Amino acid sequence: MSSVAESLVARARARLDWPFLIASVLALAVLVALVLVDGQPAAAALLAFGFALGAVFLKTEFSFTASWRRLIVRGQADGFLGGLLLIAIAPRRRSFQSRRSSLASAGRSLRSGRR
Amino acid sequence: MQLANGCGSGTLYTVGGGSGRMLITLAFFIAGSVIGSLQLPAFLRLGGIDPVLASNYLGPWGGLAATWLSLGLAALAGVAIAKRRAASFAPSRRMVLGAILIGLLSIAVFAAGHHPWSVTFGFTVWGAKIASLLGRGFVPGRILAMGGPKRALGDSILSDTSSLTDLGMILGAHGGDCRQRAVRRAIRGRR
Repeated sequence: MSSVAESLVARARARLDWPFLIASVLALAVLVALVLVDGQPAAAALLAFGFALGAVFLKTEFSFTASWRRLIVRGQADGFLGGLLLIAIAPRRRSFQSRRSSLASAGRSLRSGRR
Repeated sequence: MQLANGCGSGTLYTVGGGSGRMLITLAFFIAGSVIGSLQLPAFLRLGGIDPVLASNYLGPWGGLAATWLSLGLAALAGVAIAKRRAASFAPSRRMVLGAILIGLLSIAVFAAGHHPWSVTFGFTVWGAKIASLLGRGFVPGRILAMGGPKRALGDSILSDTSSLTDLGMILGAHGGDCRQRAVRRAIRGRR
């Protein structure tokens, strides 16, 4: 059987690497428990949102760096347009304010803290 | 970033996905972030101009419209480049889904942390804490001596917004790689 066929068969038959997945979820649960014990539910939410971001980035192979490189080197704009779509979905007025502060005077956000 | 094939978020999710090469990138990224934090005041003293905020002139909704208009123009430029070079420009369904989900999650991070989603400040915190723990007489720069960063440096790494999302991203990518790992193991098992 060719390596391509082997790969397809393996992909069809492969299930999840459960120990790997369980280890990741357990590690997340430990961190969440630590911050909840400290009375920081927002921190727990940030860990969870970060977990989701990591999974989405990996599953969708979303890459700002590679997208830009493909546009410059090969003229492929698919990833570039994907990045623009992301920015269009999440514009925030406050982000403009904190970015302005960080450029102008080393950061209102840096001075005020991030919690 | 191009040599390493990853920006801040790219480095995190490829590290989580098991890339040993990116561990090296991450280590130097962390070191560079600390060095950058020490140099930042000097660079700021070089001067510059404030960003021009559309919302200051057009109001929040006008600013949003201006943002979308500028993004639309950038998209048209990207499509024009692709067409000129006979290259693809239509994002795949997976990429569109990724963009939507990441955009929504960045809003969620902002709502929970009261700060836009960022990655590299987490590296600065990690690097500064490692330097402090190593006891090499590390003196935090002015940036790390300010309110939020100072608190992040003095407290646990679980007290900083960027650090929390960065840790979550590594674990999420680690878990998200579970099927690819199974596939790779299955392929190795058949050879």
